[in-house]
Amino acid sequence: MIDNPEHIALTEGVFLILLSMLQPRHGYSAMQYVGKMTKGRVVLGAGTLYGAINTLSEKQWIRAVSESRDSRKKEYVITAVGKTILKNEMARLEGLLLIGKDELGGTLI
Amino acid sequence: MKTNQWKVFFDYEKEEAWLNEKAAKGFAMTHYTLFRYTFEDCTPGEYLYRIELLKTRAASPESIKYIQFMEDSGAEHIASWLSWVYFRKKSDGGSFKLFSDLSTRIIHYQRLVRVWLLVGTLILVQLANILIQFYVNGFQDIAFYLVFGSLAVCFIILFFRFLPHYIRKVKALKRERDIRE
Repeated sequence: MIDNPEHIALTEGVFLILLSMLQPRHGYSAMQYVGKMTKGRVVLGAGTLYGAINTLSEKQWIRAVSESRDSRKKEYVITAVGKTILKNEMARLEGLLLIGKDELGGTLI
Repeated sequence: MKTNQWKVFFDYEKEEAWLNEKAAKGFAMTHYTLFRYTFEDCTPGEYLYRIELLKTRAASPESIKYIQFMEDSGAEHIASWLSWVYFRKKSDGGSFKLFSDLSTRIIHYQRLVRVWLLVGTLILVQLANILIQFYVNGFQDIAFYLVFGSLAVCFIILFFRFLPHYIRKVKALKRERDIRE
């Protein structure tokens, strides 16, 4: 279910985790990819990532790719719902950015 | 070379800082059993240590899953005691954080509040117990006073120092979360 799609403001971590899971990834690989995408600016804590993965799969924004017996290497991929959330969030951020630019008048950027 | 050191900590963040200081000097903690820390020589600054209080005992299936995840993320599980776990990671010039956002840090401090509340309640029950004994049997043994006194001191420290400390942290982080992620 998409709850309140137009008002969702994702945390930076969740936004990046969802992006990283456009490809199937296990936790560690997502962690590394987030680091790579942000050029090392965002380093996800493993504890934080663990909680996020559990919450996101409960909400079905991501899903486990294969029910392999070895849950350690469980890979996750974004779902259609997750993609919608991601797109809405990007639209929201873009909107904010435009407002900011408008108001600042380009003077500070 | 292995060395042992006995030490008691009540504040896990001080404990963590101490372990990291030791590691920076070339002593890497490898074992922990009730106040006894075992160290082995390492290259100074080779490891970074983190301590976490888990939701359930370290041996529970839920915790085992989590510890497994941590190990897959490049951390090493060094020791556990009740619900406390010790992790380390090769520093490689990087940092080692368990929590990278406010929400998860809040959850961790809330866990600490609950643990100290529980310990405090147990001590309180024990104090009440001793008082009842006093009442029933009269004041006979000096050992009774000693036990009562030390328990009371523990209780006071706990309730007026540790508990408010963590409650303040939770509040500060929540205020912070109101205005930023």
